[in-house]
Amino acid sequence: MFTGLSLDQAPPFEAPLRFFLSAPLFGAAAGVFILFFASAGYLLSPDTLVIVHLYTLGFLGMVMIGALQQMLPVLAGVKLPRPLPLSAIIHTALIIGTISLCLSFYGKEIFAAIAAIALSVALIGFGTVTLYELFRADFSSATVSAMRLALVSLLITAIAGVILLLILNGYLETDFQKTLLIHAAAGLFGWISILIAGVSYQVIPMFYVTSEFPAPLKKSFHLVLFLSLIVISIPSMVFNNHLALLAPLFLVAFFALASFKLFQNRKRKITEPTIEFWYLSIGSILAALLDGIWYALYPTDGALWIAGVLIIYGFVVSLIIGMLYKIVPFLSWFHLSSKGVFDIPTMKEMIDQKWAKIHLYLHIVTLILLLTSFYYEPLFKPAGLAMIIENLILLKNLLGAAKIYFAKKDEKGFEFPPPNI
Amino acid sequence: MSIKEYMTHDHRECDNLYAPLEEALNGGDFEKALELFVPFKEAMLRHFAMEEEVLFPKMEEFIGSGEGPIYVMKMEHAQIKSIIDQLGEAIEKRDQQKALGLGETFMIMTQQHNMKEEQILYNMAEQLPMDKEAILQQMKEVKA
Repeated sequence: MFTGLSLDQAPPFEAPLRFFLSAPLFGAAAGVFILFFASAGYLLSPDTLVIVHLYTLGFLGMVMIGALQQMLPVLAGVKLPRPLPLSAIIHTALIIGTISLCLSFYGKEIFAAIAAIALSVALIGFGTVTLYELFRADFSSATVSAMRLALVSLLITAIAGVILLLILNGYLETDFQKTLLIHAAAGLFGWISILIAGVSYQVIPMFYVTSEFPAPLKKSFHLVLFLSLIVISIPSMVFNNHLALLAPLFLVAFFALASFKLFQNRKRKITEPTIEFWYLSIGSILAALLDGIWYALYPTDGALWIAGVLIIYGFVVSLIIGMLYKIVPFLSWFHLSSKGVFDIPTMKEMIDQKWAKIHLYLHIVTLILLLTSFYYEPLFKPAGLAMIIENLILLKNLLGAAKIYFAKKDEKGFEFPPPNI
Repeated sequence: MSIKEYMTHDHRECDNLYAPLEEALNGGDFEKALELFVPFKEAMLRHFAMEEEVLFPKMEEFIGSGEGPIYVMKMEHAQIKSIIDQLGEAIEKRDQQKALGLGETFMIMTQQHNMKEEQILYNMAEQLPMDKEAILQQMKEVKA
């Protein structure tokens, strides 16, 4: 009993950091790809699939897996075994898997095989290990229960993804559209949205000094969202209708509104870039819902493109950037402070707020260019360029915080990694 | 009221004392900030004292001392106290940027600490075969 909280309950900084620093590199890669190679205007072209997966796997997957490793000890008293080797394996597999997957969209079977194996190791491996640890947790909470459902959704997303790869390469004859629907729904509304909700339950009231989410919402939201995914998966098998996605979209938008209400009444009045990133995220999911309703009335490919951009780049990426700006400087500070270093710069000195703000504006520009490029193609290349710059700024900001950690670490000569790893 | 409820509520009370202090700092009102800093610091120290003088020693009777979870919590208390002291100095020196930066550091450090206590440590306290009523009463009597 009570083995979760030990002296070394936080994994070494290096374990999540490699994930956090990889994210902007994949984001910038997506920008380079758009700028030099991709063409706009198609929903399911290989080009679009590459851009989507560079972001969902390379950017979002990286940050979410890194952050989960960090949060599990704090939120659930769960520590993953051997954090440094584990994170090295998952991280490497995720990089290889993401790159191979992108190459496989251009018809190279060998890359499809490598992607299937590497992504299974990264996602199914991480998902299974973490789920196992979460079910052994001493205590449960709304957040822990949401994390479990998010991880189950991750497994479904990954398995459906591997099946899609097999279909694309002629090894399976299962219906592509239906599997795609399950893959996208479980990924965006299960793994990503349920995890966001579960973490928000804790993080919004605490970091911004707001009231709690209403108890019934905390108790049931993640369950209802997960159930909605199961329910829509069944008729979609029969009707094959992606309008079914409106149900989870509506739920997530509802949750975003509930978060907005908390932010509005927060006691901590100070406005900082992370809150603005959060507001952008909330605004995007609400806009996505309107767009979804528009699509229900007048189905066009353009409306689907807009929904995709609003959900991935507007709703999720914005929120994740905001969180990175809190997590990375804090961890840098925390690990130094735990080692007894006292002359550490404060969180605001680690990342220049001005540069975080510039990033916010550039992120909004990229978002608008991406949204409009489906209708006006000349804006697509500028979107790629803005994406590159935005990610380089993110990288610079995160590296700034990380460098302070490594400089102090060298200066004080810590024994690192800790001997018990 | 359980130990968990009481202490969780006390965490929120401390947050509520911090929020207006930060607002004053953000607006550059150092007189007001200095005024608000006193009850804030007092509430924080009282919370630590309730744990370190009453709750933790009782818990250690059951789970032992050493480098366990309670040791980690005490270390984090020391880290938080150090930030609070630096924050007080920055306010006295009227260094707005430093004070706001320390405030943000204080906030995130404290919140992740509170999460551990609320998610894990207080649940642990509730499960141990201790006289919780008496402990709660003793904690309420602690002065900063």
